[in-house]
Amino acid sequence: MKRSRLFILALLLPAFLLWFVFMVGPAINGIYISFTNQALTGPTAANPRFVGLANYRKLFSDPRFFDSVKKSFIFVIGSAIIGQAGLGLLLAVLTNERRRIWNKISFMGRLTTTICYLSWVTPETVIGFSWISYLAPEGFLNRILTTLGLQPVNWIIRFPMPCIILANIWWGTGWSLMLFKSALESIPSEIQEAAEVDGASGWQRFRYITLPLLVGPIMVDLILITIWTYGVFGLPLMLTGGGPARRTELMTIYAYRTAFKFFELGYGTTVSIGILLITMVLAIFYYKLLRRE
Amino acid sequence: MRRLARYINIIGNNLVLLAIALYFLAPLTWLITAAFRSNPSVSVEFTNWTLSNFPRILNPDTARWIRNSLFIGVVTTLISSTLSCLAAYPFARFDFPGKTALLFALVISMTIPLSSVMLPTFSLARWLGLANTLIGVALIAASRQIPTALWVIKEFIATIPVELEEAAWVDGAGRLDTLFRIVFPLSAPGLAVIGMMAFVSGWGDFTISLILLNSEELYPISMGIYKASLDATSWGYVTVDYGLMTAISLIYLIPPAIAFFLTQRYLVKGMVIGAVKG
Repeated sequence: MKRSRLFILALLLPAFLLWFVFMVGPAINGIYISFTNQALTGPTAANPRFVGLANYRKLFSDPRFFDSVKKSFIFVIGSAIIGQAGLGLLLAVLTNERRRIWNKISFMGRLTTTICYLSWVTPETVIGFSWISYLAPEGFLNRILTTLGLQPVNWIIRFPMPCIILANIWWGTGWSLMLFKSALESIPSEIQEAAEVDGASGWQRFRYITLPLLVGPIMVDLILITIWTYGVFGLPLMLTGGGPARRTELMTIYAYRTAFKFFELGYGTTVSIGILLITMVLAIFYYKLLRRE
Repeated sequence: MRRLARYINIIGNNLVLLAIALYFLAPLTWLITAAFRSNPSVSVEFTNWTLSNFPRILNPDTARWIRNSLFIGVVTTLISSTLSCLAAYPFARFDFPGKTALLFALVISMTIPLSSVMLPTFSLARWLGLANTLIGVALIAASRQIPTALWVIKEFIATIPVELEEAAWVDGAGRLDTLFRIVFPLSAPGLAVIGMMAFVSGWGDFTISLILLNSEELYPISMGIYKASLDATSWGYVTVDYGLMTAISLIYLIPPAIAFFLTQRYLVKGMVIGAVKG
């Protein structure tokens, strides 16, 4: 018995040590730093002082912070909840191999899902680089518009938020598609066939059979992509850098700027604790949902 | 009449799929064409085709980016896969005190966005002397793979009949023997999944490199592309070698794409089971 305890411990220890030190540790340390006046350079860098709730008082009277909370919220609703989940669900239902017309649409269906997955595994810096040129004044999107006889638009300057939302939908939809496709496959086909015999239309079958059976996977998907999208940082940093004039300054970008550009470690960390709190609440929901199923 | 409706349905479906395909393909058009053109600019043109951008990738600077990205990707994969496999075994086979609590902590930690712990992660790395080192980047990337990897591999191990191991124990094999001779080989598809996920995240890492690395000779490909994109948006103050940068971006995208399509069948099973079933 004792030997087997030791065996278990020996197997668990390396992984959990690494996990605790490098993944959990920084989160706990972040909460601690948010109560200090630590800075990246200068006299308070070496000897940070405990300042109690000062950073949080500053946070709650900082209009720029609330602005970034709002921006992040819009970004999450637009790119994750409407965009990735919506487009992922649409594409999964359209390319369901049990559809009777599947062999007539299989070519386009396979092509589209393949490119969608490809976008999902593309490194985020490559996505940023491609989208910068795509949306540039002389870029491909404007070239399409001018070919159609329309006026070119300076997308990043005029519509920065829709730009980062569209780019993030482009990036993340593959995950939702994968989840929904596998959920659709697990629905017994007899139910669909029975409804078809009873004369239910395609929409009715989707609305009253498929959708109710997908509620679980959809919930899981929404929670996960919401959490991930709140944390999205590199892509908007590359595309707009939070600008122009802070119009796309998400919480992650504000936290990064405060800490690494303005060198206020304590306050910058407090800003990012905001992101942590939101995702933690969602994570607990997620866990509850997993337990229930 | 019904045949007509069927045709309209098929055409309509194909058109919607085509529109979605174009949405996904259009932003990549520039990347794919510019890499094969001499002296391309930001706009898409279909002239001056050449392959000469690709050999230029081997110049000392970009070759070093590739080496650094490979190092981060491979070390992240080795560390996170090995440690997760070892730790997943007890979760699949034993009951031990604190098991549920640990699983709960793992799931919760999965959702800590890296961007919310950038500063403390940087402080930690500096404190441990890992700031501005590639191994530091790999260790942080590996630690962030552990929750998902452990979860996925635990599911795979749980499907292996314990009788296989018991038979080997009767024949005198030790616990470690069966672990390495029976359990790990039989969970190969799971290993492929977590290995692929770890490699893609290490190879493609941007955020950890951004906060940890400041010497240019340690830059992975992602940082090189990021610097080029900063130059590209500097309104022409700095000229960007778009031919070279698009060629290397294309090369950068190939390994994760191959890894994904090779493991796709298991990936869906592994990740979706990990996320949905728990």
